[in-house]
Amino acid sequence: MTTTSTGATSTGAPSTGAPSTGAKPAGAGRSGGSRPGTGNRTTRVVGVAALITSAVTAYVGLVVSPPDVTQGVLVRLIYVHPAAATLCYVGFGGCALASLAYLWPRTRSPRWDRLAGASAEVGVVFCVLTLVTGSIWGRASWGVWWTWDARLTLTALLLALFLGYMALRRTGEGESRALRCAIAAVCFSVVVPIDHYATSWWRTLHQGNTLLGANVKIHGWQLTGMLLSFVAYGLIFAWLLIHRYRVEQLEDRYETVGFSAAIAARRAEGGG
Amino acid sequence: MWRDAVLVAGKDLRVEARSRVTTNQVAPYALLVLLLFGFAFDQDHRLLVQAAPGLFWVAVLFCALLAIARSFAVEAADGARDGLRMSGLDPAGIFLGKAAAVAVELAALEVLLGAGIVVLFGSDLRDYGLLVATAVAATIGLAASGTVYGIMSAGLRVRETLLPLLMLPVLAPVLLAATQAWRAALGLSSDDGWQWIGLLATFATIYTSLGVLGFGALLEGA
Amino acid sequence: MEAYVAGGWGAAVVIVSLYAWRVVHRGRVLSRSLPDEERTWR
Repeated sequence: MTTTSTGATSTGAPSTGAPSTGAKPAGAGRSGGSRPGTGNRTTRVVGVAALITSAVTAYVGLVVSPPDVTQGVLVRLIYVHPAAATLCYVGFGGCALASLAYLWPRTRSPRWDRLAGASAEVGVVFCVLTLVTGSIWGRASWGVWWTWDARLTLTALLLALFLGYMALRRTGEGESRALRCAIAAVCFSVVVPIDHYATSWWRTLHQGNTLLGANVKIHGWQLTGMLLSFVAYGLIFAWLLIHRYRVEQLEDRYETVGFSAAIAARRAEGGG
Repeated sequence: MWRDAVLVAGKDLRVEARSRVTTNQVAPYALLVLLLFGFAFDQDHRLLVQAAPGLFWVAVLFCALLAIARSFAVEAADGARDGLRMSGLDPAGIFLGKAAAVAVELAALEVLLGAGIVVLFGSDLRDYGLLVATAVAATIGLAASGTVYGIMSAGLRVRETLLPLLMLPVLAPVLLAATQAWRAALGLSSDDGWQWIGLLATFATIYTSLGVLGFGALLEGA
Repeated sequence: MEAYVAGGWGAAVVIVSLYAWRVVHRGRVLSRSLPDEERTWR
């Protein structure tokens, strides 16, 4: 049984520029005939949609939309930064809500625990992305890589909180870990409003929300590009979340089934 | 619940009084931290006075980490945690007791550190009401949140490194608020220090309630 | 200024694709060592 070359083509990783072709990989001779991994029709559709919207966003953002009057070409960063920040909050919020659902006795299920873990990790990735793009933008427009502005500080604190949460998830196993992590996520989320007030009383420099603010100065292609970027990031987020959730599910099963299955397989090989 | 809390707090404080770890190790450590800050600022007197509130609360934070780790290390030996679990005491009472014991230790350390910044950094204590109110609110918050995260990491192999990673980001707003309030109390800023007390009190209330509600589940899982 | 724009977009592409690759790869490795029935989403 030769399952060595399973033909690792991309299953539609968004914005890698390598679109997923429907071609069957070389060694598809496994039982069941489906390729290994966490992809299926849903993720492929979402992945392709994410790639297409990313490409359109890049075209609108980098080619079509004109430079801004005050920001110049730097306005093109508006298509990568605010959406990432929003999705980072969505990830952390999703983690908190899923943890609450896990703690609620009637809805307690390992699914919520997996969703909380997957959501937090994808949130951490978007949080890092937010800080990196924000830092680049800050260096270009304020002249510094980092400034102790309220929202920046808050985002950095959030990242620290959820890195702690991810570390906690990597210890222990089973129900006790799930319960511990769920309580931790709730304990972390309740400090977020306090962090918000503490940092905003402390410092405020950041420009207000561009879309929700009272004086909407943004229009035309910029608005189109920004909305597109939210759709693209949203799809990427969904794609990552589904894959990560399934990895979490596989990890759960691996702890219980995987070991005995592996032993059984080795035995079968030895006997045959 | 309250009776159990008094019982557990009494036990923890008695353990501390007899082992003398707090007096012989944590207190010298706290003063050492202040001394090291002095070296770091190269004896620049004005800078030290300006930074004194922040340095004070950073030192308190480090001591809180030690006190929390210590508070759960005494339960780790000889299966004491199982004893606590089987004792039939109300988990909320156990939480309040352990948090109260940590708060008392921290309060003692804060008095010491306060004397330290007056002597070593030349701080000028002015608004005693504000100073004490800040210290009380911040200490309750530190002890309550520390006890929650202490039990969360208690049974784990990596607890020594995990506990600071969990606690420090959570305590960041406490550090910020307490520092700003003390800056006002020491006459270093013209802010109204009392608005920060509100924040500290909110934090303390939230974490005390979370601990009362969740400690039982965490103790079972530890 | 163009360099900053390129840096921002580049960072977005690199971070997201690295993480996407990592997750997909981990899923592949895990699913190879588990029976096919475990992949309930097929």
